[in-house]
Amino acid sequence: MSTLSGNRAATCCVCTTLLIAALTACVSEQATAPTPVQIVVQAVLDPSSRVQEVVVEEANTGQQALGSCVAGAQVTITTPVGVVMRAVGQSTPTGLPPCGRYRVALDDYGVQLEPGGTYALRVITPDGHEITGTTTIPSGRSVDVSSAPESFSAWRDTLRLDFAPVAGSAAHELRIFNQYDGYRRFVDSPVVVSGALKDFGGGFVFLGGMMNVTVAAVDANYYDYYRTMSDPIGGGVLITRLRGGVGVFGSIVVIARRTLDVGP
Amino acid sequence: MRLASSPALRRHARAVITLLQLLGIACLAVAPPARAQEMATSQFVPLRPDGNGVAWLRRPLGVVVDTTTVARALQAVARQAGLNLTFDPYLSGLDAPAPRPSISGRVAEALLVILSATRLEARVSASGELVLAPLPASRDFTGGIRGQVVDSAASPIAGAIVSLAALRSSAATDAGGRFTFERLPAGRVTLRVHAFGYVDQQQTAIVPAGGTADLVFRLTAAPARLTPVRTESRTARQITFEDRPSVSTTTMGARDVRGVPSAVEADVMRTVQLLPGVSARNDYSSTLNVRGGESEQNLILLDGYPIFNPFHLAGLFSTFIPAAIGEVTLLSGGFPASYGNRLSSVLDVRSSEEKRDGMHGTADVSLLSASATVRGTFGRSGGSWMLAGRRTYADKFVNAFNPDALPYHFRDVQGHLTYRLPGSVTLATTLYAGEDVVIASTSPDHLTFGNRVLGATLTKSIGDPTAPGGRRLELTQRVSSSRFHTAVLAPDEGFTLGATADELRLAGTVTAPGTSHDRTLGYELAAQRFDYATNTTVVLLPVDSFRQRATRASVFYDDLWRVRPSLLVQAGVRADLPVSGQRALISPRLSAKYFLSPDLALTAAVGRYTQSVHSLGREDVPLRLADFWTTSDSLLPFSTAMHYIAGLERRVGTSRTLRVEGFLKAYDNLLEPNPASDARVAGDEFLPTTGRSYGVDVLLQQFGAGRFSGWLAYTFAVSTRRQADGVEYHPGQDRRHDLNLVGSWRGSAWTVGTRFGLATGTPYTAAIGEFDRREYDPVMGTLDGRSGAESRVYLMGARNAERLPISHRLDLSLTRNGRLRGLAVSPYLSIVNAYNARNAFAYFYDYRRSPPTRSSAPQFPTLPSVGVDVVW
Repeated sequence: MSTLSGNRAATCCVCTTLLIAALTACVSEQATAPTPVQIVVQAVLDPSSRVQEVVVEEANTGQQALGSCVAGAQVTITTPVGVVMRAVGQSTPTGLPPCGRYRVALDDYGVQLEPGGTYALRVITPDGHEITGTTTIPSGRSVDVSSAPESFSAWRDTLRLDFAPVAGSAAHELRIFNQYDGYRRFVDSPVVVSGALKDFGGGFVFLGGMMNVTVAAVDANYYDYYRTMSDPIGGGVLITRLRGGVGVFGSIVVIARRTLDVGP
Repeated sequence: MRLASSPALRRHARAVITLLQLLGIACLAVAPPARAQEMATSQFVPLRPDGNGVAWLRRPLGVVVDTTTVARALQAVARQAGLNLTFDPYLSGLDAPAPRPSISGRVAEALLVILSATRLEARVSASGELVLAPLPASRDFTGGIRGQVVDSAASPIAGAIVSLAALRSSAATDAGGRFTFERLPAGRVTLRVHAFGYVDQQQTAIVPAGGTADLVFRLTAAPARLTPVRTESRTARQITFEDRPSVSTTTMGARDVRGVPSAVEADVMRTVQLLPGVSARNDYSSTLNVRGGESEQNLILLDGYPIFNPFHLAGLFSTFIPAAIGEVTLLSGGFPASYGNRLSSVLDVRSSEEKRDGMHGTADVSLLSASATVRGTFGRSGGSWMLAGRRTYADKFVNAFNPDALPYHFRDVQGHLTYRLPGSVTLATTLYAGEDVVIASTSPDHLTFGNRVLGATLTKSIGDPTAPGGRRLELTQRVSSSRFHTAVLAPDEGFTLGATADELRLAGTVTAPGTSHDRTLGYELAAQRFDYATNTTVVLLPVDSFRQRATRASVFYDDLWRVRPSLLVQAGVRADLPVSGQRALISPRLSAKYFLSPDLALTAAVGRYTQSVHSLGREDVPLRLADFWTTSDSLLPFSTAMHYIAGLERRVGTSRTLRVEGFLKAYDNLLEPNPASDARVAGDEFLPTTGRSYGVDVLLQQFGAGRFSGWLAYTFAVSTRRQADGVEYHPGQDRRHDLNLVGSWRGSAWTVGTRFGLATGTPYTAAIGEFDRREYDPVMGTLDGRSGAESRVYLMGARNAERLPISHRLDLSLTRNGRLRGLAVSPYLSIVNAYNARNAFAYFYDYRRSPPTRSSAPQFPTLPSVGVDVVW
């Protein structure tokens, strides 16, 4: 059974859109009280990458005009054998102090992320919030990140990807992206995608140009976080397994990859 | 049977019965009580149709409705004649079905017709006392007479009274004008025929020993001068009050439904929402929450056949065509064993049945739709038929100017037929088909959503209750098919959804009505199919695909026991048999009514209720597009509930009633759709919860009398649910106070309708923040935020910890009761939310601003609408 990712599909619900559009034609607005600060941590471990990224932010709760990234946090990832890797805050392009993005260079610690291994994340913000979580990387073997471009006609061709299910994974995610936008869904093998595929909003998925197609085995944290949604009208529950905050600490293993040069 | 209320009268009556029983003749005494003691010593002669010159026996009489048994018919006659009545309930023949007396006959004629079904005779004294005695036995009663009464054009005359004065026997003709006398002594007899509007006629016939004489009476029409007659019959409401425990039972007629101001057009479900114990979730929904229950817990029947999703336009309107509806009964709790598979209520919607000769019809054009009905009868008592249709027309209008601008419409067809077959068999069939359609000529996308119901019921009475020890049985056999389907195909968006709920049901009952017991044994056998498939996860729609096949079998026994004149008890048990991998479930039901006086009764009910079908719609979501049904299997248990109800019912006159009831429902295995259900995992579709709902509801109602009808309904209810992890919360339908005032004033020229509602808010979960969900790019190795609402995720506060504010609304309607060329033409104006109360439907949040803002989406603003009803 294949499903679109929750965030995309949810926002495209025709009925909700129609009803809310009708209702919001005459809404009344009033200020409401800010709510307590909530820390959002989002991190996805990927053994095919030598740098792992952790994003630490404050949710928008009305405390300020926009929720802000959290600078100066202590971010560590601990390997199954107890190696504690400290993530370093990144500078913004304007040279302002590091803000929100923290990176761990595995080479600094001589660590290789091991499929099947369980890793722990710990974040302590300057305000004293502590957020923790764990993830177990699916057991599959990562494919080479680079691949030679293949010619693909959006009008004529069909993309087929075969893969063996990965032990320890909760699901498999297909991503078809160019540098601006893309399409993602959780899939079963084999994946057969027509070049004329449209997304839920009716736009063509194969937009043209170079497009990266990947299939990744994902852990349960990742799968549940991205398949669920919370919404004041439509209900729903966002599944987040972090303690002390919200967000995700998940892991993926890319098990299939194609680069397509999409033309008409 | 109910004795006269006065203790003195009761003593008199008992004394008379005792005395007459000692004399071996007395079974019934109808007389002014003060003179009853003289009865035994009076000289009695057989009662004649002319009443033997006794004034009260010559009184005109209205329609006697209740002819279930001879005893009840006698009571009905006595009630209309304004007399006290007592008789020995153990007399043979009193529990026989009674023939229906003619309209506008006399008391004496009615008594003779009723007693013609028995071997009893009425005797009257010169002073007007009446007694009942068995006919004398005779060895020569082997002959018979049969015949027909026709008019000068040879058309049969139904309801004519044929009397055998010498034998103190009489009969009423049937629809074919036919009559029969059996077990007559051989020899010469004189028959006299009386029919309203005709000259009386008399004939003499020879009854052959062991044979049957044939006669034809051809009557001459005679203009009759009608004297003012006040007819009074027991209405369905009176019968319900007097003859049934009727706990938590509310009945409305079509007039009640149409008298309520409505949004665009009259709507059965929206009218039911105004009854006590019923809560409407919001203005945009016509679903029902009954006494704190979830909206899936209501068994909705059309002429006794279940219908899965009786709604149009995502619940904004119900499927029932107002003009096709005759009566609506809501059982808001404590319902008897004959109803199963729902936890909270039964809504029994009955099609209208035409009573008048000829063809009649209605047409109604509202801003929403146009509807029409045609109806007629198959002769005077041969049955009736009705066909109705409705369609929205806005699409036709809009698309004529701008093609495909409004690619939506819905339509309904409803038919009902009742036909009386030979052998006391009645066939009733119902057809309903309705569909919502979204389809555009320029797009491959389409959506259909609809219900189909087809059902047939055969009823038959068998047995000869007049024979010694004879009993009557009423057999009912039903077969029905009910199907809900929806299909959404949006190939451009890669979105497909299909759902089907299908049930083929066979059901039957055998009822043995008696003087003190009405016993019913019944069964239900259902083959069910539930399919749901979708390829996407969309908020408001289930994500799980499934295919289920199930067979359900149930048996039930129900006994309505008239313990004493002041005590009615209805006891029953329902067993859901072990099929489809489930264990048997036994559901005992008990209800009782105790009359403190003829107009005041205490009521109580207790029972266990089960439900095997479960909706995937979430109650916390204020919008309910549809109920997608699934059924209990090895992974999903039956949901159960215990009902405890106690109340008081007071009848004020013949047209007002007051009912106060307290209720407690305790739920177990209540299945709440899992908001985080994984489409790839079977068995996680529901989360088990327990809970309870309790409260009080009040109904003060005036119906059908005079120019005003309406009701006041107030409900106080508290509902709590407990998750498996022990967390307790108030479900989305937990409305604490709900008051509705409904009134309709009907004048000769105008009808004014009003409805005022005042209700406290329902719980909701507030958003307490928001953030952007970032996506990991394995090519770049970064987490990127996608812009806009696409990636926005709300942080939600404690479940249902907030409540919407109090809402209130005044609706008005004004109808002109006009006539045009023989047609009743009634244009109407309806205004919903007349003073434009700003009631909140839901809140939207924006936490990207400081301070954050909360926007309220309103419920109905002021909505005026016009339409016209035409009736012929």
